Amino acid sequence: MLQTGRPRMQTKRTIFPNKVLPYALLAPQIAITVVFFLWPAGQAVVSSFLREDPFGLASTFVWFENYTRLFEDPAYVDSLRVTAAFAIAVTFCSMTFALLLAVAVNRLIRLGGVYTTLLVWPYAVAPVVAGVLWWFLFNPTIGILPYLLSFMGVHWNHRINGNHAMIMLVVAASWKQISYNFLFFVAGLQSIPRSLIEAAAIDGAGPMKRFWTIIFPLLSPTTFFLLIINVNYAMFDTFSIVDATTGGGPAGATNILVFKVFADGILGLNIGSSAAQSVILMMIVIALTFVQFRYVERRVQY
Amino acid sequence: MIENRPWLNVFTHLVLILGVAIVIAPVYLAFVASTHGDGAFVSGVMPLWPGSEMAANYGSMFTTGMAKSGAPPLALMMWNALVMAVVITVGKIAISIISAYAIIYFRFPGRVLFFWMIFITLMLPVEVRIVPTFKVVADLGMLNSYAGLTLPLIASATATFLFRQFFMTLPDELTEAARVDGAGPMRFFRDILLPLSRTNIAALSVILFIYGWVQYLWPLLVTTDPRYYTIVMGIKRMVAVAEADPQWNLVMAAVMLAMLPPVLVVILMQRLFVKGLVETEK
Amino acid sequence: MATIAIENVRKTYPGGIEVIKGLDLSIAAGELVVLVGPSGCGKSTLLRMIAGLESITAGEIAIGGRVVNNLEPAERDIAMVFQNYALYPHMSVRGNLEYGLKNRGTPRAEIDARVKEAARILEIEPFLDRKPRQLSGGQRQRVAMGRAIVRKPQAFLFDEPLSNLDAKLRGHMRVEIRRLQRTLGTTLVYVTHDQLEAMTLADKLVVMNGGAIEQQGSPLELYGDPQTLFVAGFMGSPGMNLIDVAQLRAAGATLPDAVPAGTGVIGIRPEDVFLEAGRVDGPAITLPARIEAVEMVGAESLAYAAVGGLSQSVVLRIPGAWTGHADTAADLHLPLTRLHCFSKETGRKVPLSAPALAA
Repeated sequence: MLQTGRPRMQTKRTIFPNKVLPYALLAPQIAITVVFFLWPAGQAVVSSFLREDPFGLASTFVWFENYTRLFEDPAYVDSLRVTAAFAIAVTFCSMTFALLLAVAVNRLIRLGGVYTTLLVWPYAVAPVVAGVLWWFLFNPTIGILPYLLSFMGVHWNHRINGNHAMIMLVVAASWKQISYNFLFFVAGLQSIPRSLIEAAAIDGAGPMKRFWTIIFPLLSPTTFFLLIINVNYAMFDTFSIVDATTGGGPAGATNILVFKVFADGILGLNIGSSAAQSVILMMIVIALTFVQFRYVERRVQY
Repeated sequence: MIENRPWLNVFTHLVLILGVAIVIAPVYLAFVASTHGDGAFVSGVMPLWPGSEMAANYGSMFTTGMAKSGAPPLALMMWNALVMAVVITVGKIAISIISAYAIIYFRFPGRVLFFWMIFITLMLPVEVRIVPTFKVVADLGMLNSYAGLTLPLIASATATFLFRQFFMTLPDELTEAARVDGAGPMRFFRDILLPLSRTNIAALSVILFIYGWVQYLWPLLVTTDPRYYTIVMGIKRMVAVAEADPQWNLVMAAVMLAMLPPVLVVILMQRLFVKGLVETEK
Repeated sequence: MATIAIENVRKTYPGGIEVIKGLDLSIAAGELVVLVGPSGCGKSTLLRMIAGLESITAGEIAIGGRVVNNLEPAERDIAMVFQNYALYPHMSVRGNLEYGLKNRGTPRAEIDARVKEAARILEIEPFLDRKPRQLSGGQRQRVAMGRAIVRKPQAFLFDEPLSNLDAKLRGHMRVEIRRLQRTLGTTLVYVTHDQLEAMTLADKLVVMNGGAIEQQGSPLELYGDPQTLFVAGFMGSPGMNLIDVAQLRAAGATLPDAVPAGTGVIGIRPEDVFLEAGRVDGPAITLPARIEAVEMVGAESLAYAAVGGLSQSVVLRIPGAWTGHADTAADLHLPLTRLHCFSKETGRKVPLSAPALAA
């Protein structure tokens, strides 16, 4: 055990000699992990290689057919495209807006705390609530936003216009995520040594120049970390926004991957295809987690 | 700031005020909507100032719910959400703190394997294993039960990592002093480790309470009986009325009540909340 | 109060690193034994093996006649004071003192009496209800000692307990520990890397190096008659002048016959080197030198003298303020009776031949 000397596997110098107790302490966590995480994940992998007959009585081993079918299915390719667009848009919007607010708060000597309190609470709002709020504001008949947009010549209707539906989702999802990004940007900004900024000011750099040449580069660990977290959020935590508002429509314009897994598996009962989709999603999460942890190791040196 | 540029300070405040306005506006309009009668949403633009039906809307939602869409009273759904959030919070903290304790303070065969098993749960959110997990819960007969709502969500790599991280910062001499003082492993855990973890437990509780309260997909999967609906997933039932606009005033009353508890927690315990958020992501 | 017997004890870490190499030590009841040595010499490991915090690879440790090899720390009836004090931060001072007694099921009245007694002895009564973080370094140190005292153990084990204090407080606490140990009469094993602390505290001083005992004895024995080059260099501040005989010969000096054959290094304490020939009784070695620098430390002065051919300067301790000038030539007189001769190969002392001295 000692030889596995990776830093994250450290123990204490002083340990308790008990032989059975540690297993008892780990038992609840491991039991739940096995029953509700590892076993179902294994099942998903297995069923992704099987095809069930329509009655669910027999299944045959079909190798990668479920996967190849998926990538031949225009609906799935479309869903990939929609997910990518959605994730990029949400990440960009919420991070940009949050960074702007964080820089502003960081400039203040007083009142920063008040603004922070007013800005952080949406973290506690359920994504579905955020979705319903903006769905209400965008309501084509009575919503305030379509009313305002009509003055600009926009005839808003997310029920038939796919782009409108996508914009609505991006706004709702970004709105909820601003508070999270804001908090991390503020923490990142506060960790930049003041002396560096003062040195730049003495060197004659104005506020804008200081931001782009000193602050933004030094903030890059936070930015990169948030990038991963936001992509993760946009891909997985936004299921409920889609489910409660657009239902993936109109015509698949907002059919993001997690929603499609759910729709195909639970509503459509297409187990093999849904399982293959699950496995692909797992790969994406594993890749994101890997990148995140690689990065955390580097952050230590910063 | 370093230089004194009044226009820059004015601009800073403008940006922040605009930001706060954007963040608050939807909630304000939702609140306004929840204070009007049905008639206010038929045509024209949604109301922008509070109406007079607040008590009636909240009262009927709280006690009778929305019969038309099969949604039970909000009181029940909030109670269920509270049970779910509290059980998940307590459960996750309890099993994670003892897991971290085992991994840090003992050396035993399989330690590394167990650590990685816990780590892997990070990569398996419910969303990517919906169907088989549902099946397991169904096979165990846990659909439509509090156990089904909470137990499968109780494993926590994040909480385990947080406690592991914290335990690593405690000096070895503390354990040694306790051993010389005659404390065995359980006594050491109860008398020393647990009290020292208080702040971490509190900070984590804030984050986990919110996590538990805002659960959506999981309650949607495992409950078909309205008696077990939670308020957050119940909102879906209220808005999903075929071919018709929802009863906005009542939906928004539900939305307000669904937001209130976790938002209050964040505002009242902001310091713990920020600590919990920043530390769990390390 | 108990004896501690350590017999042929070894400690090997996984990976084969041997940190204690077959060590024997016996400690009498009521004795204050100081383990001293440079960092990494194994002194702390040995203490922790006595405490039961490190397992014993081979050999036997007995406390009060009872072999404790396989006993838990709590079962060995010892109490320990740690370098960083290891006070329980969430408990009050009283809570810290009581904890070990409570765990042993000591009756309430007894606990109260013992805490009161310890608090009185250590003068920490006013802080009993404070948390450790509200105390100063010295106060925390006292609480750590109090936690040991209330237990009334067979032996105290102190692991560098004063190294986190400033110099003045350290001196004060040193005196107090000595007094306390005399009053209580409890066996005390004390680990330090500070030789001054070791000298002033110990009944018996044990100098360790590389996992083995170099020499043990009373502080004055070790200072006056070091048996190895290591002990000669380690004890005293400034340390003993160690002069390479080969260099001395190369520079043309001749050594008297009293210096035995096989001597590679001769050692002499700074206070035993004289500038005036008149202050030396009996035969001496005289070396022409040049005073390079003088440090006046108040009651005494330290002079650094360069001797032709030697790579290191010779240090002299002169009582009072030195009135001479730096950068002057002077003869150094090294009385033969104060000379220590060591073999370069073994590092051990080579005895002076008595007849030669008499002559």
